[in-house]
Amino acid sequence: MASIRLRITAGAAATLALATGAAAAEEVHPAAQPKGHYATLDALPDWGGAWVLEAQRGVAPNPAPEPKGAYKQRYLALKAQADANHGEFPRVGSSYCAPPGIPYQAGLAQYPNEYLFTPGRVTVLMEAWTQVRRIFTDGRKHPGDLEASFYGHSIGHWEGQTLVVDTVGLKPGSLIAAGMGHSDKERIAERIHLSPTDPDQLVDEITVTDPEALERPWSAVYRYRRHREWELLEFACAENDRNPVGASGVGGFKEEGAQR
Amino acid sequence: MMSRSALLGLAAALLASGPALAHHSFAMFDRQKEITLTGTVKEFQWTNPHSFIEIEVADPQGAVTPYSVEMNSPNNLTRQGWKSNALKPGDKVTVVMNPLRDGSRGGLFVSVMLPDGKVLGDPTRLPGAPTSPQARPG
Repeated sequence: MASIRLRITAGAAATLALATGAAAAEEVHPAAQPKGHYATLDALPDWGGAWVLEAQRGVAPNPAPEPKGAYKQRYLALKAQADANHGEFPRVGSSYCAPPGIPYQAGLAQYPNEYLFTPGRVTVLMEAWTQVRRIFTDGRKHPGDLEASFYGHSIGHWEGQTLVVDTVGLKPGSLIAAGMGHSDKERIAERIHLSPTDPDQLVDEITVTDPEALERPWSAVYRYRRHREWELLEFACAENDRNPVGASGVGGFKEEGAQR
Repeated sequence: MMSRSALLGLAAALLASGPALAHHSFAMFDRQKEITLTGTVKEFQWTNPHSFIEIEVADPQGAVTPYSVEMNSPNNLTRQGWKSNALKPGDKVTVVMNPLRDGSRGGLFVSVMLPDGKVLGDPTRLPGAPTSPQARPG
């Protein structure tokens, strides 16, 4: 895709700075000005429909990530609590309505995802918790002053029919695996493509590197089944959350729920 | 509406998908135990993150005890063939659940037999329920 860099005029930038308190001129990226580039999307692969995780059949199971140092100690302490409570990892200070972030959510069963292509951008709609992930393919770089978030900041490019994604800027609540946190050095590389032998299977090859929290890079492969007939459904978690997380981090059960 | 064969295929896929990462842990429920409740539906909460059947059970003396039966999300229930009107207030039903470990009046949904004898959920886990696959919602 043509790399178009537009800078707003100095006058407009000054007005914007006054209005928002922004210190510097802000760059308008190509994905924000998509008109005239939609024809380029026809060259992209057919990822239409909804995609839901499928069982790993006939393939090696994904290895477990190997935490290290203080992150390993933290994980082992949480794991001990989980083992003592029927497998439930505590969630101190959080709610079950907070999403798990990536890469953990890549292994979420039952809830489908949808991929939308627009010029300069791939948008992933995730039914679980009604979330959106944006992968910019317009040539931009990661911002230098990134604030951490559940999905971080993702930039990507197409290598043939494979979407290659690089993600940084993940907040502590965004988990590698159950009870397994990460440092601010975490980086997630993904190669997302249709299976070469099954056009209705989408493959996400994930490699997580975190020199502070992992002994070595962790790689996993997740496979998703296409359902062209499905539509994503609403998931408004705050509607009737009857499983509040208590002070110990363990989920409760409210006997009274929404009455309507 | 999904065809019966498609639904069975979906059920098989869900069974095969192994432990699911859910909205929350099900550690609070004792999956080794089942309790059967026969009573009257007070409310069917077709809500996120999870649906609930509110059921009132009367003892022989007429005292009524309410129970809350937690289910999957409406999203997953929809894809298993459920509708928001599958249960209505006043319906006389039999529900099987895995009870809460702490003894509170609630549990995790296993199956339900509706007033017309139709079974939703796991048809093999309701006493007296037909166990053929045709009993699944469709």
